[in-house]
Amino acid sequence: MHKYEKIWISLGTASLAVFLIILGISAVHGGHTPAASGIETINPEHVREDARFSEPGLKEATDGDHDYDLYFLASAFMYEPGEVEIPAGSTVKIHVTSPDVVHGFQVVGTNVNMIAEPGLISTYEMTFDEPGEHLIVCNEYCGIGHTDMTSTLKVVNGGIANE
Amino acid sequence: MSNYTGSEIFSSKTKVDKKDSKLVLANMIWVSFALLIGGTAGLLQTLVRSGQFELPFGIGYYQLLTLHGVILALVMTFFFIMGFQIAALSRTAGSFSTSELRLGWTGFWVMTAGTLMSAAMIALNEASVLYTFYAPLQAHAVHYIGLALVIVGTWISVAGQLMRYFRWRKENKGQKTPLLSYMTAINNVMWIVCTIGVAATVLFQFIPWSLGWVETINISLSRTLFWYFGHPLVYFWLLPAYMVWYAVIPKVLGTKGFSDNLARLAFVLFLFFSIPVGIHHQLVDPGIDAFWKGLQVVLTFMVIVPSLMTAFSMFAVFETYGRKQGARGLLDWFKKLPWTDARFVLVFIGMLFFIPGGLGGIINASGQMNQLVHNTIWIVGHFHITVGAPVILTYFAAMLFLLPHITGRKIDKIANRLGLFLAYTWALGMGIMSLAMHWAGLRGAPRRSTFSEYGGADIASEWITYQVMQAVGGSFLFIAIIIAILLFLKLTTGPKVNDPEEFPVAMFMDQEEPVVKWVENWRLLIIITIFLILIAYTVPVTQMFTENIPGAKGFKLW
Amino acid sequence: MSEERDKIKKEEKRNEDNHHKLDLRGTFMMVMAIGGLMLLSWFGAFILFMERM
Repeated sequence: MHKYEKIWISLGTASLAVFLIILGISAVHGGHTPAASGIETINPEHVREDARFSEPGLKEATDGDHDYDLYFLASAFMYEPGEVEIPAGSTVKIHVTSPDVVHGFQVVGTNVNMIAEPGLISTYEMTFDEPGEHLIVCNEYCGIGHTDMTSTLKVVNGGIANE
Repeated sequence: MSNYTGSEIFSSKTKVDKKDSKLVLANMIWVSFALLIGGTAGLLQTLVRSGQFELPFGIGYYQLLTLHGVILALVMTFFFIMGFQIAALSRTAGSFSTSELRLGWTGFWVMTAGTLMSAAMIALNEASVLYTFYAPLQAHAVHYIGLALVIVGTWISVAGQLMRYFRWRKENKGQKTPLLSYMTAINNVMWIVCTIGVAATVLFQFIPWSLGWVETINISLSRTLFWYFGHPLVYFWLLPAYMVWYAVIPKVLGTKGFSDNLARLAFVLFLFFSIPVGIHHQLVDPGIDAFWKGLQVVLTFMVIVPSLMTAFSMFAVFETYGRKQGARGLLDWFKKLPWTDARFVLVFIGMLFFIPGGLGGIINASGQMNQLVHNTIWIVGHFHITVGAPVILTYFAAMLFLLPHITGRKIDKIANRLGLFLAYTWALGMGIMSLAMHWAGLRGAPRRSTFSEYGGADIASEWITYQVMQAVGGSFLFIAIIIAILLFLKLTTGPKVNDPEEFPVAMFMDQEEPVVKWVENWRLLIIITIFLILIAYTVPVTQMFTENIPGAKGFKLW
Repeated sequence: MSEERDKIKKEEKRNEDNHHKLDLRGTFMMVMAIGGLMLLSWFGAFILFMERM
């Protein structure tokens, strides 16, 4: 090998190793593991009979270190709830599932971006600090009405927490 | 039938065998046809997404998108790869035997039948499930059977190619195999190992389920088996382009390749690390534990290393050539490169696109950072500057010399000029389109979506501006495709000559060195490949069986 | 046998020398530029990711 090639391959590989170390630390210590990881099952044909998804929306958390649980049902071709308000500064665990086909769940402008599959619940925990409005779109093709699937996530000052 | 072992491998007089040439040409006709259809679909998609155009005759956007993906990502690439690899083997190892050639033709016709079956289902709007055909969207069974036949067809053709390679080895024990032949063997072995995944999901999951023999399908498993095939698929596209970069382009310049041994090593690394990484397409899927996603991210990063090696080798060849031509300074060797030779320019522009393509790929594969871009149109931009530029432009460069080579003609001035126009028009169109896609994707615009204002959301109107840019880029690309078709016609018609165009095959600076033995120890290579696959996939796939994930019924929602 | 091996070694040495004698300053600069772009783009994306966290 040419001397320069050795330097290049070493430095290149070292940079990749640095990226991996940063990602690893961020995942393990920052809690930023990839969204929807893990296996939590639900029967897709009885989703609406499940207490969590019979009336999807924001609920105060009963366990864990997050403030709220936010349940979303992604179906052809809508999200339930169609709009949700979240008090600024609260940590929310989002749970999404589908009663029919595969859907996407992307809260535009945030890192919430995951796949919803029938039979499984996708979860992601996120703290919403900045007040503002985020569009939620389906980013996995699900049929003719794919782009009609939208919802709005509003991060508001005060809000439910202060009522 | 005879084997090439000496200087004839590198001689400009050595030709692809006449009978083999017919098979190569048959495959290349499919390539041109698929390019025209797929490219037209692509243009119409960008026009629809600009918001200024509606599809006529009740054609659906997603129907068109399915056609675009299947015909370009699968059909066009497969026919090119089969044709090119057969040509490369016939040119460097020697002509095919009757039985090897018969396998090549059988594969070709099986692929053709499969393609027509799937195409009919797409045309009838019975299969608007996109080229990834994610369950539980359920297409007509004939669509899945057609896709399965396309894969089986490649197996048959690949079997003929592998027989050709191993016959050379058997008849020349202990000798270094011709580099191009070796590279086709690596790509083919990788292909056999990875297509087992997609064949399994189609045969055992999709076909029984779409025929109604079983009611439900295991979605996580089907997605995982798909991507077990889906990522090596991109290397299956890329490696023939790398074959041209490593083993053809130095001869086009009239110089030697950098290192035969390093080229083989790079290909071995692709064999090892292109398969156990498919879960990096499922980083935000439920049903897979974070640890196994992380492990496959690490393995994905390993497959970047051979591309780092390739970058160095390419520049080294260019610089060495330029310095031989009298370049003295740090970078003035660039000026000495053959900027009027379309074979070189097509490839070089492709290489330039691969720089941002590769860098974007590292970001996509970076575990949790995938959430930044997952299923946004950034991803579409990414694969259009990887498969849609470096790979396809290199395919064009290969067809530029291969078509006249196998039909007994030469690249004339007009053809060369058309080739240059093709390169520049493609670069312009793809540059505009992919840039707009990357930016819109970072702003959250989703992929695989028809035109929508998303209820008048502010952010959606920003996306539409970028979508108009994509339509501009798409229009240039369509013009480039027309140029490509004209070029192919020019190359295969007109008067024949006595000394047809050369299929350039380069010698390497280390040509006389013995080959590193273990890179041709196929038993060892396959054992390592399977070992890595077992490490990466055993637990996540087992969990998909043991965790009682409810199955899903089929839906037809288009 | 050993003579042959010596010959191969010498041959290798010559080729090694050939590679080492190549003037690849420009190549080195180009790949380092790619490496620089790799760091820039990756950290750019990482910062954006952390901002959206």
